[in-house]
Amino acid sequence: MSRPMAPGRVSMLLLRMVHRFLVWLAFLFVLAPMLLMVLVAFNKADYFSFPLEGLSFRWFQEMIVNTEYRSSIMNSLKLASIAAVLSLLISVPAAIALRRSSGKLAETVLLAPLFFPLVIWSLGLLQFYGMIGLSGSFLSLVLAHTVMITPFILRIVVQSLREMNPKLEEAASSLGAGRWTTFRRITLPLIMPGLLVGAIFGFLMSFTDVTLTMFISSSGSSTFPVRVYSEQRSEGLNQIVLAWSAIITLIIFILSLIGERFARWSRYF
Amino acid sequence: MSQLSLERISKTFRGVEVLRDIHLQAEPGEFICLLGPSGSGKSTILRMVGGFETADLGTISLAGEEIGDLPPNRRNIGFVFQDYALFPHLTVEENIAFGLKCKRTAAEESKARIRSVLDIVGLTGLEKRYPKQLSGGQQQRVAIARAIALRPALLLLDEPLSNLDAKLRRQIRLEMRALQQELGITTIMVTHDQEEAMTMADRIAVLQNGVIQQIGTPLELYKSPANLFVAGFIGDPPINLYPCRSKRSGGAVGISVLDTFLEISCGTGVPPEDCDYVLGIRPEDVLLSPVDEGRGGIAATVDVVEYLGSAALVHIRTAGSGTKLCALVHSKWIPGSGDRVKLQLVVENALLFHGDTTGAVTAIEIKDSAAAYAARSGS
Repeated sequence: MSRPMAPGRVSMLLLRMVHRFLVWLAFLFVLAPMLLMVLVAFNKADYFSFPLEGLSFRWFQEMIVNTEYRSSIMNSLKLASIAAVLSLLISVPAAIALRRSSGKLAETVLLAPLFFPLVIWSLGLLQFYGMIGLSGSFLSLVLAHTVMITPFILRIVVQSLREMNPKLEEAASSLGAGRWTTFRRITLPLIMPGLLVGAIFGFLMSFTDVTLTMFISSSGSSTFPVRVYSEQRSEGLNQIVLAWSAIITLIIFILSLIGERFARWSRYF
Repeated sequence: MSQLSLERISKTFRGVEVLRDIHLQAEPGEFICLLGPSGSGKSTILRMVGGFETADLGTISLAGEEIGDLPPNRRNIGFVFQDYALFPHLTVEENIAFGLKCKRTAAEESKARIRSVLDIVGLTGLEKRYPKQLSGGQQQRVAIARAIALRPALLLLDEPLSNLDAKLRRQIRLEMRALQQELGITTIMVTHDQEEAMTMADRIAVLQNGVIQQIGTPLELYKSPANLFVAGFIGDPPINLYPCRSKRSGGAVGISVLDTFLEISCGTGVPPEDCDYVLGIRPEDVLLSPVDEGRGGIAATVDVVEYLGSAALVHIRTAGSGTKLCALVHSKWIPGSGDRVKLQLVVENALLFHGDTTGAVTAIEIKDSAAAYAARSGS
């Protein structure tokens, strides 16, 4: 027994279909390029081509053999890790101070780089490094990356501190804990998910940066993205890059899932 | 010597006077409630004693030692927060152990204390649970256990029952009072619930606008409130209040309220005329009787009847001036709405306040002139 549907329900259904279509379209635009890169990494051909000419792992094998790309990946990993840790060490005390002070000025200054064009800042930094004789060193890269990612990490740390119930610290204090004990045993464990999210986010920012690194790095300490970019301009796309990209995509995808699952990190942005 | 002593405490916050000239003494083992509406400064006093706020002026001493300048962790005071403030990443056991660890209690002693406080609050067996796995009432008990495990010289409770439902609140109220007496621990509790304060405290300090209005036992506050605010704040259902003016009528001075004339006298002297007063009558001091019973009294009509179970709250209106008042009726006979009744006032329990200062009038006695007249004509 069939009944004619009420007109309201028909339009609701239609609306829901349109909505679903748009959502899938958005997903497609975000995911298709990534999926394409991952697929092409398994291509047999010597050049970028789609559809695939046949499946093979040859580019992954060459990826392992090729020392130039491997060392640039190692550079990137080292740089991003050190910058993320350094930035956390700056951000946590800064965030605690920011939470205590009610002034908006300090926060505005610390967060200003969020909106500042990276290119202009990089140029200034390049000149500045020249003046103090720090140009081209790995240290200069580390410092630059730390400064670049700190506003973002700081924002996340401040946010996680604000989400914490301040009464917990008072409770610890009334139970006889001094400031340091309270920080170490109450505050730190409770903001740890925020710190992890901040660190991962900062790491990824540093790891994927091209602009800043292009400006201030010497060729010797070049990172993976910079290497890819400059080689792409001179010699075209190297298939080894695709293999690395596939691996990096996979790692970032897993990190995102972990971050979302354990720290609901989307709420920080 | 009192356990806790606050002298001349004052505080101004952003130009607003939060507390003015607070004096408060708590004897060892005493349970004191700070009672007042929100914004009255009661929580500020508690947080000051706990060490989370500083006074602009005045001294706080605990067991003879001045503690006003010490940080909270060096005050030996247990604090139970309104939202309990249990550490969410620690188990019940670890929550209680936290303070013991900070005080460097030996492991054996620490274990024994955790066992004993969990036993006292009736949570044995829940040691390994995390706070979010506990009900509100259980969390509240953990907060208390955590505070008393350190055997503090003073226990501070900040609205500890406000997050519990009504039934649980009654039960925990009794338990907490029994526990406090058993441990003999001096306790200060902040609450805005006068019933909570009346049932739990040895003494209550009523606060309004940062000033202590009156300190006294629950009965003292109820029977002889120091001013209009206390009279109105203490007592449920609330007291009936009537602004009035003293006048001479015939040979006597008195006040006209509720369609009647109440004679006032002050010892041997003559009470002042043309003074503004406020008369207060508790609902239980308004007696109702059916019209046809032929007893004397003021004629009135019943508006609404609220049944409270064993008693009823009867809202009435006098026949003459239409003045509203509220009577608490315990008798078997309870009028229905719309009924006509006679009412009598137990005037010896009535309270009189100055109209301008709102302070209680102590030197004046109120007499029911009809009764006085009857007494006079009878003699």
